[in-house]
Amino acid sequence: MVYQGPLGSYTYVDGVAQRSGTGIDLWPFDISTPLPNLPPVVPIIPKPIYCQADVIQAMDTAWAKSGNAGMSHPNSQPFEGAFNLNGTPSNYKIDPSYTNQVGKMTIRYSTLFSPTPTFANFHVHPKGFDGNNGLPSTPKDSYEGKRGDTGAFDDIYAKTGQAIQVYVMSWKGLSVYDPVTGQSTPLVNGTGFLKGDECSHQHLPSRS
Amino acid sequence: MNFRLTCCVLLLVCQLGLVGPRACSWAQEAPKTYKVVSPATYENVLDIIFQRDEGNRDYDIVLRFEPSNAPESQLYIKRTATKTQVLEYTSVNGNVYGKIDNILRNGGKEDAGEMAKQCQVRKRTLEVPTPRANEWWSSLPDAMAATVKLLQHRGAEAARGVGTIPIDGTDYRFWYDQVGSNIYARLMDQEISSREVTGEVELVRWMNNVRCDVEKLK
Repeated sequence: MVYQGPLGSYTYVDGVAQRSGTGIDLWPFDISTPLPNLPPVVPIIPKPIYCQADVIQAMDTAWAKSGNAGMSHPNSQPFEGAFNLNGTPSNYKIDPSYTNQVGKMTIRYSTLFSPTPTFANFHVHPKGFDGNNGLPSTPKDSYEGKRGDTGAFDDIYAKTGQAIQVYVMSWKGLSVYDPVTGQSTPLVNGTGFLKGDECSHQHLPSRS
Repeated sequence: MNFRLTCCVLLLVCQLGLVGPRACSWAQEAPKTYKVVSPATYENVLDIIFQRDEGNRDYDIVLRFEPSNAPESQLYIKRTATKTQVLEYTSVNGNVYGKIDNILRNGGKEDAGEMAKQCQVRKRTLEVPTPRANEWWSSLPDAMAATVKLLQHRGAEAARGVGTIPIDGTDYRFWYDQVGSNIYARLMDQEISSREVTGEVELVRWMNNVRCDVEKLK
């Protein structure tokens, strides 16, 4: 590209202006300085953790371990499936947890003494245990913010400062509880989270 | 100029909803977030409905059960020279946490006094046969010792990087009060069950054993 200035012409080679004309240089900047690479105008929004392909796969596995959240064997005591994410949101490992009957689920997590502390827990609330005191679900039920979810992780945060976000999967949807803000957020309605639905235009709730 | 005009028209169309919400789905709206009931408010509501501070000071032991799904309950155990008596409070309209969380979600204020007015409890007094009561008293010291041992073990594991925590379980509270001295414990463990004595922590198993015994007295 050739730019014609008042005192000569300049050619841009790899972003650097090379003077090709003659005369006195009156430009207020050093033309030998490379031009800054301007960032693209399009904002980059990080993909939410529940939209990462490996996390979606782990959610699928936990869902299957829970007998499709209690629907595979409707007359038996349902099982829960769960896993943790250890490390940081940009560099994590998936730590699958063992399954157990609903209400008998004791999980292991990596504390702040670990090089890769747990920052998120995902677990399934099987059908019938997803709100409304264990009674069959109704559209008005709350599927997030059960005492058993919030209390345990509030405790860890209050005592150690380790903030573990709790993602709850159920037939009603995917929700997250953040012990830092004490807030719960429904992220995806229904079971579309198992396929990454709504990942194109969602983002994580902020901690403002 | 034409480009600017086109953008303005497109924005106007989106704003007016002329092409429906789907056409503007790239607008990236943040999901709606809800504040959940704070642990302090929840405990205050339970203190009010179970009348912990109103004339129930003359007790030896208080056991509170805060399950994830089932109704909350509280047992006051009082022992005299001749008998042991249990005063039982149970929520009669479901899980209190779920109820007051819904109040908050539907725009209500986080006011423990007001929230408590919307929760009903059943109150019953039961006599405990002396042999059964003696079993409770005699097994308590061992349960407490085993509990401290387990907590020590878990604490050591946590310091090495591995923590243990129950999810979707029950929060258990235990008060042991003698004149001039009292012991308080809060333990998170497996969910209460009407079919079996649950719990990995011995004191929790002791509490659930007492709860199941009281169930049988009715």
